[in-house]
Amino acid sequence: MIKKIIEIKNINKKYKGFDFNKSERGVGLWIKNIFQLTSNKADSTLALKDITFSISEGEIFGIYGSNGAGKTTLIKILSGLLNPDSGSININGSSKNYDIKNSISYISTNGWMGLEWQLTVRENLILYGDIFGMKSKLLNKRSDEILELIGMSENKNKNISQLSAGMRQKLTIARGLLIDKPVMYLDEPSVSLDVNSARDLRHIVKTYTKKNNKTAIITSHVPADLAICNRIMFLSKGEIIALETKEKLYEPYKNRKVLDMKCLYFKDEYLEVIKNFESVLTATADFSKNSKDYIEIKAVIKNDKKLVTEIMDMLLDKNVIILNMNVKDVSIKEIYEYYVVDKETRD
Amino acid sequence: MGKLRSEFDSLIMFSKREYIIWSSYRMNAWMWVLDTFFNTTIFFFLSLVTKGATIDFFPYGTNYVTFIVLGLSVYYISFTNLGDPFPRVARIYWGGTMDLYMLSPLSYFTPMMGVMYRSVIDDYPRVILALLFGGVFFGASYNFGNLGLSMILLTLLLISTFGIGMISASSFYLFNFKQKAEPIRFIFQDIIIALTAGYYYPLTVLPYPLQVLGSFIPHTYALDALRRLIIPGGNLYVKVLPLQKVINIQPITLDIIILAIMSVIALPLGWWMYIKGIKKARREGTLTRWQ
Repeated sequence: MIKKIIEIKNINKKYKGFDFNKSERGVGLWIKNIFQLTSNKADSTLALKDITFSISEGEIFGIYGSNGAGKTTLIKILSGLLNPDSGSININGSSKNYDIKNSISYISTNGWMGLEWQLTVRENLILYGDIFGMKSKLLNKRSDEILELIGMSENKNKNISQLSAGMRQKLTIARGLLIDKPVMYLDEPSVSLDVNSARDLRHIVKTYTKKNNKTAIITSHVPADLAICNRIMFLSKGEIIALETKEKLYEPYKNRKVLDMKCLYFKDEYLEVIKNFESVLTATADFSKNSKDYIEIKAVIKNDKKLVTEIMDMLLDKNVIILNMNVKDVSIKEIYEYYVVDKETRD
Repeated sequence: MGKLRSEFDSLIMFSKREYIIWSSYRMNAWMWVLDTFFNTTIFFFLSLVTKGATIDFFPYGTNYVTFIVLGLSVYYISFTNLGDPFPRVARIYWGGTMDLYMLSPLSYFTPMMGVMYRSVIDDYPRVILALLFGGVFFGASYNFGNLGLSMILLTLLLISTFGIGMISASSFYLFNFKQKAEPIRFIFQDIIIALTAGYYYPLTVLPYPLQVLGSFIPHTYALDALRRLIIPGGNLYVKVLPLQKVINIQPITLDIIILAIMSVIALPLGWWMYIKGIKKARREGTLTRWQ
């Protein structure tokens, strides 16, 4: 029986705001600020609602969601940086903060977290290992191994300020691999990496976790990052809208394609017409005011060339100018949008 | 025991790291020595202005250079212990290092003490240098007959000022003072201490209300006792501070008692507030720079 290494039950988190009367000003507001002792000047925001899931040992688990879905809030709760309002967290058999911190390795590229600019690559690794309680002898040996693994041995004596953004990113990832904890969190790991480096990173994560029976949680917007995941969880507005293996998530999209169009003089009633085609699963159009003159339309359709012609004919009849049309494979983004729409429909 | 050992090892590591960063600025060491030298020089020239004049430093002897050098020493300690914790917290927050420390199994204590080490290696040796320059170049003279008592006073000063410094540092998270200016430090360091600590003049020259204001800071008592003990000719018995005049205890003993009380209150209070601030930030999601 595979051990459950992470168990999350009924996690809720609300960022408490003022919830003040917007006509309040001046001293009254100032006093409320002091006594409420809250940093948040906005209204209260529900970040996570009834989040429950578990992750097995050795699994690579993906979390996908739009901006503001709650991914970072969830990861911060799982790493002890943020307290949930309610619910329980059990990581590697313990719910104590100290044990949780001892079980996880958090790899985030936000601001190249804590890299010391005056120190060299190797010195940064040593510092990181020291903070996490690694012994000197092991630390020295492991630092060299990890630098070799990520292809940075030649740069080990360079100062951080001499590295490119991608190399700093690699160093951040190296730090996470260095401390060898049962669970790794990778938060947007391939940001700033070129295509080859990103591919190498995914390969490293996949082989490293498999070889050492580690568990990894990846949050990413890059479909290729999530492609190595065993299961993917979709978050939307703080709720889980899907949690399945990759295969099951893609199931409704078997034999589907995405039709991308850029059009001039496209009206919202035309979108309803597109949706009414039998072979169209979903269709969306971006009518938001921006500097572009065209409207972007996206439709998930059956793999049917005749359908594409029919849609084109319909639009041309309505004097819509099609600037660009493209049929491509369905990506995780479209699948996510489908689940979001599906949930909203059910609600 | 294992956890304590691990924390201690991390503290040593932090110290090494702070030293590496401090020494990576090549000119730093030279500028550091010269800065201390010229600070002492300024007051030596000031002492020349007062030479021959009847200046009343009673009960602190008659050597104005020694008087000033001791004031400068206490200033350096205060600058570090009271003035530095808040900017250090701000630095590790804005530098993204706070994320790192909070993710690690380290206690709240170790990173804070670790980052303060840079201030310690920067400022504490200045005390020795100031005393040295004063004695070698500018005619300061010292009575180290009561060295043990002087070290006790210095230790209590370190603890009490660090406690106030931690109260100041706590405001970063507790009251969300993420701007460069921080009111607690400003009020203590730039107003009360600057005016009433008596770094450069005896407290007795101030109007009585300001002398009373000076009764609330540890610097007053530390300087009073240290000057009596270290400056040759210092009088150990005459009462000059407002509290000394109302409490019937020998002045130096009273100074030590008050410093001890301030230490016992300030440091635990400062730590408590700091941890309270961290916990509040963890609740609100403002612990680290990146949301």
